[in-house]
Amino acid sequence: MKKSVCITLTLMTGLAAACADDRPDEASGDFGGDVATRQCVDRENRVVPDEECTRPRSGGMYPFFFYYGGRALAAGGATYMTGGTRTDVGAPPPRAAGAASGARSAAGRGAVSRGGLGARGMGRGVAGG
Amino acid sequence: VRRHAITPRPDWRAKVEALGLVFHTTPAADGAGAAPVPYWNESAYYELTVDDVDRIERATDELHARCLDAVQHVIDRKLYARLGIPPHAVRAIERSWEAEAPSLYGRFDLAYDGTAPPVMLEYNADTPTSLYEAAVVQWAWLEERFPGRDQFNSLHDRLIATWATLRPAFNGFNASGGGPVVHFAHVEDTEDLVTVTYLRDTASQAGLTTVGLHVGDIGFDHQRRELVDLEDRAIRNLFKLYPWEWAAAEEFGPMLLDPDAPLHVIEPAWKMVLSNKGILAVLWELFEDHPNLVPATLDGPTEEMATWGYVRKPLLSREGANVTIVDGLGRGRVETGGDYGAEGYVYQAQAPIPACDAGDGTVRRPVIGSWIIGQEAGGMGIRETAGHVTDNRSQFVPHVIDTWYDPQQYDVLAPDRSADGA
Repeated sequence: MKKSVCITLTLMTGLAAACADDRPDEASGDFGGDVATRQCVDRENRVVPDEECTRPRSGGMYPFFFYYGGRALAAGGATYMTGGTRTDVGAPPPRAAGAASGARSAAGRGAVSRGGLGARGMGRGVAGG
Repeated sequence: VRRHAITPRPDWRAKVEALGLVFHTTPAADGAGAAPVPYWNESAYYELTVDDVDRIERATDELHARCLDAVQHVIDRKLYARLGIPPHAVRAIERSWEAEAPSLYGRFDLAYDGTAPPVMLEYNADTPTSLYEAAVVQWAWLEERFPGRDQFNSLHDRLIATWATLRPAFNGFNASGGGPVVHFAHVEDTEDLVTVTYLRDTASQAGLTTVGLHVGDIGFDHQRRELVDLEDRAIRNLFKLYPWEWAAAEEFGPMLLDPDAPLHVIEPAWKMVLSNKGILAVLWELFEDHPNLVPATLDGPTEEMATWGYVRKPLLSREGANVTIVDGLGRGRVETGGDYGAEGYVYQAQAPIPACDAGDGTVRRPVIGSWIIGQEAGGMGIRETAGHVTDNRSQFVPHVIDTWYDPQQYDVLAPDRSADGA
């Protein structure tokens, strides 16, 4: 019944450290450093609920943006993003800093669409059970 | 199965956070005026005998085998419509089953009172969670509080071993070196992030290269006709902590379900049959009076259920949402909220979940989450609730096996009933 070996963790250790440091990339989904955090922000880079960026809007016009990477700053009761890259909703995300470049053509990258999965998970919290 | 009160470690929050269990406390329910409650609750523990564990282990292996029989039955008779499985998912289900696409894990929720055989409440076959707390956090608790004692828990070792057995089946496997790349996708939620990061950890220890990303960041390259990650790298092996029924209904669902695509998905598509609560009725039809099953039907409560009480569950609900408990002869009724049910319901006779004395005039109802890792039972966790439905406000309580335990050796057993672990 008992384990025969000691539990050794590597990625989980990184996650725990990130959470302890309250680092803004806590929820990035990757602790190897090759995936950027994505936040929904308004025109002033103020963090808003993610639903603002994912909710269908008439005409497809979004007054909100996705913000990748950077740091979160708290000010005046709000959280602002800085030091990262902002894109229009629906635009492809920027290539993460330090990632390999030149492996694919820009045309190839432009042919990628995202957001085709995950809509049902929005606003529900956990997808596991 | 006995529940004991125990004084929590004074610094338990810091200790479980150091392990990465940052969701140890459940926030107050909206508008209910309720205080936050610990999700990780070490103000109590459950004690099981070796015989208890043997019975749970055997029941889990037995239920796993019967569930595989049930999948074959559903496929042979094409019972997909009865389970609300969309037609466009059928080909992927059948092809993955024919190909014996392997499964990593699943969690049976069992009712067990220490006397009657454990019975299956449901099977979380596709996206089970509470894995990390069962595999690692409760083990660390055991080693500190009851060193030398045992636990039904070889989850960590079995996960690594199972990943190792799956490795040659993954796309990109190269026996001469360089593990296949497996993408791990999850929603933007801390609990799911922890589960997926832990699974990545075990996969990497088995020689796999892992990449994490959010489900919503998965892309589709229209020129290459394949799913890609944020770096536009092709996704060839995908672990998704995202329900099949959600994915199947979304824009990229057909790409995930394309059996001809060079894409290996964990859990495989045939798990759609088992993650559907309608499987409870199929199992009862196939194995009526099985000691580890309770009566279940898709056609409304039977006369016997109406007399003795039953539970109505949506076929696809999660975390106890939209569950209705009807006591015998309509004497009482408990309902939980949510937005499931349009897909249909399964009706299940009430199972004998024990009510354990919490020592403060209230009771707790434990449900055993018994894990299948690969093809074998591998450990368990217990979630308990003061109510009747194990939902997202239930608490995870660690357990021990009462092997040679001598209570005189431990002064930590003094109950502190004023402490709720919070």
